Amino acid sequence: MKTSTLRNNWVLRILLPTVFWLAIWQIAATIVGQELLIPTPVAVLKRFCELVVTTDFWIAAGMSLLRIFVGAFLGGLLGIILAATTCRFSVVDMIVSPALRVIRAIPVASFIILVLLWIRKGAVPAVISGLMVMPVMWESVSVGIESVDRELLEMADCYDMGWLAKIRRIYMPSVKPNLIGGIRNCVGLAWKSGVAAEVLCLPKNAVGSQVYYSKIYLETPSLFAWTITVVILSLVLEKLIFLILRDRKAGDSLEN
Amino acid sequence: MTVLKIENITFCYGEKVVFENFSLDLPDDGIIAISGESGCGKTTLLRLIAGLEKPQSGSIESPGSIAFMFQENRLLPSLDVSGQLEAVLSKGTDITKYLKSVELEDETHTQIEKLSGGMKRRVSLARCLAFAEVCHKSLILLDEPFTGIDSERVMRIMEFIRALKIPVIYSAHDKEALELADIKIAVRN
Repeated sequence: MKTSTLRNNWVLRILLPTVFWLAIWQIAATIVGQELLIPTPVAVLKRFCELVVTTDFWIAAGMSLLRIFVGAFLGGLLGIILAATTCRFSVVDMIVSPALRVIRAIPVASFIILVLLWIRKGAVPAVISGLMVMPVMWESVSVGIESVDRELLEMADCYDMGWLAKIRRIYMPSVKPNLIGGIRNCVGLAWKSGVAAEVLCLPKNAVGSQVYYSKIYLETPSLFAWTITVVILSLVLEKLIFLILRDRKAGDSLEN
Repeated sequence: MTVLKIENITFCYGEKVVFENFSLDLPDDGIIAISGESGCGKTTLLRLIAGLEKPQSGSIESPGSIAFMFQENRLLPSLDVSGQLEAVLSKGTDITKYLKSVELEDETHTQIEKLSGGMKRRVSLARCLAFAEVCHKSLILLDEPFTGIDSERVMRIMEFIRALKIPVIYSAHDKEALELADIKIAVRN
């Protein structure tokens, strides 16, 4: 009874882990005693507040968000198209599937350095985000397409349902849970890989570049503050996408 | 004049022989019932007539355009009752008549997940009948259409089916449903 009350209280659910981990952080910082290695939470918060009021902070955050979102969106879209194509044509599946599995297995750092050789550095984070997202989305959507109810498809053929109606009424309801699961996995992945690409190729106005410069100039509180920014942006983007998806779901229900 | 001519068909599921040199001629009007024990091949016979299965040998001459009601309801997820019919008909088709025929006119906007087994069966039947009439099909095949529907309602539905004036072949288990047909065929192992 007590446990369930604790779980249902959202203030406690947020406050308790926050306070706990901040305390651990503070203790660690006190024990180490060197701001260069582990700054205190207060020092990081102070630096974060200083950054937030600057225009450069918002430009860097906005540009990173834009780059990573565009890259992830295009990569995700390509993953969905490839899933539909590989499930429909076994020859395409034979050719494309191994390549996508290889892409998924290659370390992101190798990809970043390779891509940096081929294209201008400003575009690398978007390309990397897209490349990382594409195979994940491909696999999620492929599983959804393959789990489509064959009996419904046979019914659709018997009743002369067009391909658009089949997609809307049979494929979409089946693929939707996998698509949402895929998006959930991809948001975090896109951010991690996109920021890693920014750290390695240092484009102008980028959170990743700021993380790198903080490390170079030994500004550990800044490094922590920029990292917190990445986490916040990732969470905001994830919440935003799921709000849109939830609204669409409600809209669909009303329509139906 | 026959609506259906089956000549010497042989059909096997793997090792299991379902039909061997099976022949059948059926007239082009009226309502025909197929009876038989579970697993005797009623569904397979209907699927063969519909062209959903191909015999290993022999031939089946049937009208090209068939409306088929499956043994399972095969209803579309997340759609209401009217949506099930509208999904297989051209836009703007009046579906009221078909929902009335299966006595579901008050459930038009009920989500399919909220219906009982018998009601779902009636939706599936209404969809098939609507499709048959609106798309001018020349034969209706119904695989166990009255499962879970009470006998009085079955009689009223059958009156509507007769009024469509499209030849019907249906399979059934219970005697009451079989009695409503003009011709009865028993399939035995």
